[in-house]
Amino acid sequence: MKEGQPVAPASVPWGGGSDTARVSARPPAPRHKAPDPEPAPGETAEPHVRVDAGRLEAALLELRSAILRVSLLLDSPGIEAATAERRHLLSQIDDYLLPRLRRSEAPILISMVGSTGAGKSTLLNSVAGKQVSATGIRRPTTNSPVLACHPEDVGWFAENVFLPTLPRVRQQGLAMPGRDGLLVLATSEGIPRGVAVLDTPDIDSVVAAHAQFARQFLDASDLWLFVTTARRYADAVVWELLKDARDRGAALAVVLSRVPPAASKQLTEHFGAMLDANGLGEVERFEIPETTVTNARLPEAVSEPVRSWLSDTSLRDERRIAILTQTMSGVLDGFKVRIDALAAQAQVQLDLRAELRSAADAAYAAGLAELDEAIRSASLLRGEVLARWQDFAGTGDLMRTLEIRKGKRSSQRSKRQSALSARALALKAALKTSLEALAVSMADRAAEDAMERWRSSPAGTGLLAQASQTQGTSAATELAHMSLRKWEGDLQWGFPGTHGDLAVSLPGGVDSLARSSDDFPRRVAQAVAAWQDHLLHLVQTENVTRRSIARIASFDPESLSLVLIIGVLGYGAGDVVVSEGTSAVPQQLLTSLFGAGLMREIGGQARQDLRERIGVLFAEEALRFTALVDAVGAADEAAPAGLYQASFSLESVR
Amino acid sequence: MSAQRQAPGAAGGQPLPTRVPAGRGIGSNRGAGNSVGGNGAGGVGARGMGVGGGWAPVAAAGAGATGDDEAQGELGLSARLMALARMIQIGSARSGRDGFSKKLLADAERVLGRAGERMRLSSSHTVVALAGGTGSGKSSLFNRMAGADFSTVGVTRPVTRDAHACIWDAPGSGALLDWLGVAARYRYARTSELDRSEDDDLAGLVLLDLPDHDSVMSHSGDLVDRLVAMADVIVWVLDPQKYADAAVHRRFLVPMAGHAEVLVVVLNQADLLEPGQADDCVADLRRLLDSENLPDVPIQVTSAVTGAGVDGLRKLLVDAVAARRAATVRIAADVDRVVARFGKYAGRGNGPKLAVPAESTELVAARFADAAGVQAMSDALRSARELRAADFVGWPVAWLAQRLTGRDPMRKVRLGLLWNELRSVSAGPAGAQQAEIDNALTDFADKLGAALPRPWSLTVRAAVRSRADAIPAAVGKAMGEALPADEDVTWWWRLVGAWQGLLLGAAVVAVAWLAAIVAFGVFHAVSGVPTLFSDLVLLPVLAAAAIVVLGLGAFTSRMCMSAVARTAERENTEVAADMRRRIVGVASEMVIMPADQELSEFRRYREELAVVGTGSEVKD
Repeated sequence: MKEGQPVAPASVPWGGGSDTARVSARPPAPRHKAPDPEPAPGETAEPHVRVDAGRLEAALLELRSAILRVSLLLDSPGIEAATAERRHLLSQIDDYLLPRLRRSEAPILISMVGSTGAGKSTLLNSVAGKQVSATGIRRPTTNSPVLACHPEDVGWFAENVFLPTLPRVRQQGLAMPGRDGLLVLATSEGIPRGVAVLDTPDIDSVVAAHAQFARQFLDASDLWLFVTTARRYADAVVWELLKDARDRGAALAVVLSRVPPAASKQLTEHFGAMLDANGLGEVERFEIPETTVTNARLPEAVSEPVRSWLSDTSLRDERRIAILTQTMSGVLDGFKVRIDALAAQAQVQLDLRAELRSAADAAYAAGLAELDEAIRSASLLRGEVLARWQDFAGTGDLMRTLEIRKGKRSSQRSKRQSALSARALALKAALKTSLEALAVSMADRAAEDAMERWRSSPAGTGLLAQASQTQGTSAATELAHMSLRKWEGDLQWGFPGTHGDLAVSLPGGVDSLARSSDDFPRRVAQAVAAWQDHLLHLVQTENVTRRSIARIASFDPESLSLVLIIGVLGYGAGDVVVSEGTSAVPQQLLTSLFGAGLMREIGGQARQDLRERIGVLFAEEALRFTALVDAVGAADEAAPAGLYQASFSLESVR
Repeated sequence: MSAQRQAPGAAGGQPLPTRVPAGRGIGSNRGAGNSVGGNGAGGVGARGMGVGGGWAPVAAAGAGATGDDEAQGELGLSARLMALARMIQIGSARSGRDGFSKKLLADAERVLGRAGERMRLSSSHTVVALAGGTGSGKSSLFNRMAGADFSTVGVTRPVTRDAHACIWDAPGSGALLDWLGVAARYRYARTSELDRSEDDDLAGLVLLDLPDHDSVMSHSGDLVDRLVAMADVIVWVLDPQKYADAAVHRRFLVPMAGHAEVLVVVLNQADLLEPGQADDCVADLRRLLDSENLPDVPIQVTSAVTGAGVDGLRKLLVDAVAARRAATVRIAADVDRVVARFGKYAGRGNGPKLAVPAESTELVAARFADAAGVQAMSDALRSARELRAADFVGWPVAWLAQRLTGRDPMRKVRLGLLWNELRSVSAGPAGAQQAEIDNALTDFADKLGAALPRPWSLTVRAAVRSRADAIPAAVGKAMGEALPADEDVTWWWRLVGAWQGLLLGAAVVAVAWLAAIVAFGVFHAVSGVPTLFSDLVLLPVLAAAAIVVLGLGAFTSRMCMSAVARTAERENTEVAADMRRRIVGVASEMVIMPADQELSEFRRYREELAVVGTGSEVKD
């Protein structure tokens, strides 16, 4: 500020009488118990406590652990807000509610928040009577929060009591800007006892961390002293914060600084009207004119009203109680709705999990159904299989394996180890290849389908992105996770589930999920071979051929099992007519060999058996997806219910 | 019009530092300098009101009317815009979740639209917008520049709710202001008889006073966004209190990192600072801008109250107006920004395969042939052919003997049916395994798309698969066409058949003769038969003859069958080769061609991108 401008008269609270009523003007919510006029003997030291602090603390602790159980790991609309809200709730409980409950006689913490360049630090220096916070022309000026209190109160703000997660330095001598992010503790006789003033970084500068920081302090403070300027009071950021304070029901006072003396009346009226219009008509207001700053301090006359209001607050118990009550019940009032919202989010998370799982499972189930359908509709009897079958059956190789029984009763035929003809072997191989191809094709399609389903939901996309990130730089992220975990541990909020395990579960990268796993064809080959063996076994052990045929002829079991497979693939699907008059499926041969009823029965069984074998493989494939869901961390199914329960018991204690 | 106008620079106050990096001014890039204005002034009037259909004709018209340097720049720009339009076209066909981002396409569309509109409008005017937060003194500065109290100034916030415009040298600016959406009552002409001489150097300036962007009444926010996107030069008016606000840096300055040439930052209200403080403040602001990739932006310290530094700002604007390049520079910067976001869809370097490898048709066709069982079909055909041939050239005696032993009871019924079946296999609706075709396509697409960037690997895969369902039928049809005709009986089969019949007849005659000799010569069953039928001498001769004939038949049969087998093998090799050829045709038509088409689109995209100029290394 430039020197030589006229010094304005002392700032005065405007907008009507200023008294205790201003701060606690919000009528207490009807469900609150009125403050106990005669506190119980044991509670004399904590005059503001209206409820059983012990029970409230227990309820809060229960709530805290319920919040900790919520895992918000999958992307969904509003997840960022929910994560921030979760953190916010925890910080309110840890930084404000629990300390306040346990140590209710601690000094009232007043946070000065506001725009960069509004003169917060200057005001603090003026109130403290010496320079405790750096001022300057650079924006933003204050990078480290400064907490100023009476020397005898400083014990309340030691690390183990107040904001335990925040490192701090004790200020020595004159104002020394601390490193960014450190809390500077400054003492001054100028600050009345029982009150501590916190100079926070700005809320609107380019340094985004500052706004974050400021909000953390707001959560931890009992009273907000909001500072803005004549040039800024219409800024959107200012009103965002003011409305936030209103909605929380926090105790609030507003300072309009840097008011050009000439336009003082016009400005205060306009600002006052804006406050009124936004439901903040009752807050305490101060005006500080644009004036000369010497030694980083305002003229005493200018800052006097603020200072006397501070000492008033510290000295008068009823105002103190009013402030504490208002802010705490303001926070607790908001909890019901906020916890419900968080519980809803937790439920959404659980639903998403189930959805992702079922999406993968459904894709593979659809693939299996399609495979079954392809087998049942005889669509395998095409191309090579058909050609090989015709070659085998047509050239008489098949019939050559038929032996007319010479003796009518000599059922004990010598099991000669007949070498299968080349054509039969080719048919067998063709059948195997096409079955394998079908299974592989369906599995690929299912994998693609599952991937597609996942990609179409934000949760799935997020999960895949997470996984691929982990994949890309697993070493780096592992490190990052470790430090993150450490940091979270420092915060005492240890979030359940980390993403470090994702790297383990996916050796081939995320894109490999869209294909079947590498050894899938091999496993399918095994399964199909096993199925063919199973049919051979069936033919060998059970008397599957019709009795009339069996009486006169016997077949080589290998060939018979081939015929049976052809039957399984085509029988009962109606005639597969490849052109007029001819059928790919030797219906007559099949019925004459096995009989219609038996054929249907065996065919059904064999198909079922094949479906089960392939189904097992598909389930394994689907597991790659569901394993990814598990890898993001465990989900507590009872978390939403726990939240509702905790919220309810908190309400009942109040 | 302006009664109380002060001469610029006349207002007192100490000279304030002007932080313009050496050699930089607004819109004076690539050393083109500011000297174009003189010779361009005559032509621009004619060009300014061109009513062409798009920017291309305007640019062409401009080329004739203005200086070479400018024309070249503009031609280059119009080529870039044309390429951008084609890129948008290519991208729009491939937008979506996995494709080109819809937002990017819309942004590019906006840039293109704005460029077209701006280039169609007066190029003799330069639109300069004063933007900034509430209370930074935009309106005061505006009034200072205009020399009159056009825009209301006030203490309560916010003051300005609508955009105001002041025009130096008004003729021809109407359409431009309509386009900008400045209401007629907020337009002020700065030409009056009195001022004409002094303000000549600002002729063509359209100065806009924008509402703030950061107040609670931010219905004006959209207006600011719109006008900031449209103006040729943007002057950000900051003040010592607000110069580091996130609202202006995050939302406006950071995204304009490539626009340094058409940006000016003004630190207003210098009267509130002491000289030393001003330096400190400017240094801090410079540091901020540097960190935001805006190191070349001039910072001008002004005071609208005292008038200090307004001259410097005026000088900057005079330069911009004289160069008449701000509009195109701004458009070029917009294009640069949007095009940088297109780069990720082009892949890096010359790594990606840009054409379908030549051998892939054969590879895919081979997989198709396997799926259709060409080999199996050929084998089956051969078997059938041999069976057919056996009917003609086979030795009926052997066949009879086999039949009598009963080893092949159903043989007789089979032949005709089998031939028909074989014939119909591939003529049917689906001659190949869909699953195997699918697998072949998937593998091919994976190989082809592996090196491509994200949307293209998917679109190439889609193109490869585009006709997957029709492929089995097409393959079946192709194979059907390659099959030999139905009743294909070779002439020498019949000849041999006749010969075999002859032999059979001879054998029968010999046996009958033998029987006669035995009957008449040995047992004398009937007397008076010719010696020919009773002479025992003939017995061994006849027996030998019968054996020879039978042996000859069997021998003929065997020789012919092996000949048949040889020709059948040869023929079927040919048939199989024919089938494979036809399948290659199917594969190239239904798989390779769509894939190649998509890849050529990718090539085109990269070429267009190179034209628009990403600055990244795109090579072919």
